[in-house]
Amino acid sequence: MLRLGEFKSRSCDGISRRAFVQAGAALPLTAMLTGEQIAQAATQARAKTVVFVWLWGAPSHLDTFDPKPDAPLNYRGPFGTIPTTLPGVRFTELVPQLAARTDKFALIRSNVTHDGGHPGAGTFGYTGHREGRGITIQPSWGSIVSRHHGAGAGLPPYVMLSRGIPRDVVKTIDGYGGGDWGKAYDPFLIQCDELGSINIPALKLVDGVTPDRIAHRRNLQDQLDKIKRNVTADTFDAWDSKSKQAFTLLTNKQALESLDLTKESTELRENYGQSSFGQSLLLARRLVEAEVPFVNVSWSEFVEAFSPNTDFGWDTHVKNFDLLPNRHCPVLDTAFSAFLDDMYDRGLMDSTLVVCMGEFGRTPRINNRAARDHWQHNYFSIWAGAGVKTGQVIGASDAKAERPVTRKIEPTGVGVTMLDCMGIDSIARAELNVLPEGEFIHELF
Amino acid sequence: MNSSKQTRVNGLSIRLAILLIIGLSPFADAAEPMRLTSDGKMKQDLCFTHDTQELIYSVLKTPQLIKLQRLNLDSGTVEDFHTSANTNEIYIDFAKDMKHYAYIRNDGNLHTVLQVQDVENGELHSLNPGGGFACVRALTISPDGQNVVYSFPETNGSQQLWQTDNKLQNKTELTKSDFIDAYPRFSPTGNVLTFTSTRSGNFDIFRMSADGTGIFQLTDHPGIDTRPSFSPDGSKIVYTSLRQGNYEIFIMNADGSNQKQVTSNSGKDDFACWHPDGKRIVYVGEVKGKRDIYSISVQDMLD
Repeated sequence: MLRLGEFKSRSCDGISRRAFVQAGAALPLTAMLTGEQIAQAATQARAKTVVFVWLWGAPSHLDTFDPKPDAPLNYRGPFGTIPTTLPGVRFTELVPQLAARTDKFALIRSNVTHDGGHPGAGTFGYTGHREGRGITIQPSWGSIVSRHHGAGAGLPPYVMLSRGIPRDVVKTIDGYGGGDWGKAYDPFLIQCDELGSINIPALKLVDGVTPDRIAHRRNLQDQLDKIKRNVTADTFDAWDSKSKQAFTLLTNKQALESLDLTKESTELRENYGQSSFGQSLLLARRLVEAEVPFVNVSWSEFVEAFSPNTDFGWDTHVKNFDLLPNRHCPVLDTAFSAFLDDMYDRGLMDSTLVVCMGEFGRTPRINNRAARDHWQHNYFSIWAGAGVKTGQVIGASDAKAERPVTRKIEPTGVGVTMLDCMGIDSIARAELNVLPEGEFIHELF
Repeated sequence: MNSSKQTRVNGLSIRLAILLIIGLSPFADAAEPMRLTSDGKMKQDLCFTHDTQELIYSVLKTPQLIKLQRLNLDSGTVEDFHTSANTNEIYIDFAKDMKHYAYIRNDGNLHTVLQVQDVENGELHSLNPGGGFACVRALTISPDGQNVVYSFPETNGSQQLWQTDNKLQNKTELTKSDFIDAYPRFSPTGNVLTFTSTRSGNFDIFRMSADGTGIFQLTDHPGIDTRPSFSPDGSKIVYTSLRQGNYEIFIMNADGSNQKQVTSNSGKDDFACWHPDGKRIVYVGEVKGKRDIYSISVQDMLD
């Protein structure tokens, strides 16, 4: 149901709630979802693809992109700061490669969210809405794009590159996928390991067909032959939507090639680094070339930074000052820098919006475990492509990076901006009955 | 500038340019590194055994598991150190007689314990630092195997060095400060400790007597200096420094003098320790996106 009167969000064209109500009222409902209009919106879109890089577990903003060298030691922490290519802007010494590339992105230092826990803030970060018992689960950004754009030839419209649906040791976040729209709009999960080998969990659901690893083309062909031998029309009909997507993908040569990192030069693969995150970013670039509308790269499946059977997320309640310099920041610095370079080199940034962020920041004051806890009152995000004015810092935090002193950028604003860039403006959002609030981040353009 | 100085500067510039043109670094008095592993996996916490001279280190073996592994430098074979370990294990150190060794085990959610293995008696002692998110950070065992020093956070946000015996009884706080003290390492005699601390405002390297007295700052740079380790004769310390804008390996005299850069690699060089022969440094180097263990001779840098 369309609820015109409830919409407060602003599009990139500055359509306010009131203007939208007028526009909506003048437009026959039956005309609002025509393919012609979607095509028209698409031509007006700034981006064909969003790459949403999710630093799950929440990196410390002070120890990376918003250092406070003049704050007391129990706030600023032990890391030194270095200049960036922007006069007067400094990062910590942990991200030197990104400090040398500030001309390639815009940095927001005034993000805030409304939940101090991972699942809740994760759902805010993916949907702009709260999660909880009895609350309708809203569709995620990728699911909205997926529904609006529809499936392309062979490749699913919303691909998540991750070891699994983002979660902590207790539960997955509610807002990762289609929510109340149903699993048809969930992300298509692809696992990419540190060597670039691909695994598609959806295929495990197919009885008797277990192509676990698609590392080499010969293996892949064997797997495909096996699948085709085993699949009948009846079996296919019995599969769920994700298994059907997987089968469709695996039988489409062009789509399949998009997942084959062996097509890339050794040198380029090395530039991204031997990490799951790095190779996933390289895979994301190939999916951009294949025009997948929404690609979500998640740093990890679990938030936990150092816990048994988890995969070393950014949740550094302990060992913050060990893990950041030893592992997390070097991996991020190398992989994301290589990704930006590669995307620009191939001319893909004009049509791709890249957003990199976590679900919140970390406590400016060092905690009683010589580390940092959750901090939803201030964090950062990195934006590039699709006409984003790079080489700028938007917003500012106070002297201890505790709260923004400029306009707060909310998760709904992040969502509105991403969707607007994809041609899903306030009218289209109203049609889809999503994201009634949120302000486009004009400073980016 | 007078003409003789000008000539000297020009000469240095020309020599530097020649070195760069032919692909050598200006730190070429250290020999070329030799790669010891080739899997490219993430590795850290290098430490030699004292009998078989095997290299033990922790490695990200699967996406969810850090294991201790042993590398035999003669044969090149790699094996799990604790074959049945099913959770993360890091930071190992051995007593000189190899009768005890200590390491850190990740036994719960954001929780680690200190473990000491009594090799002769087969006893395993475990120090649980408390409930919640309590983590022992790094450790070292005295050469005689009697004491373990480890770093552990305080409620004021600082992190101190503690000492305990090899049965993990009788804890004593060695440092008492408002700062973060980390990465302790005993000297070969066991009389001295070197460690990293934020006492100077950022991570620098310090030393002190094993009883916690006589703290003395060895490095002073706004970039990170960290993870110090004594040479087998105790006269030198190897450490990691970010002072050049990239993680490189340095050595210095044990009193902080004569600081020299050992590696010069565009990737991250870190987690260094001395080879038992005292003439080589073994470290984790990131080359072409892969993190492998390298050995480099520093014989020409020892004076």
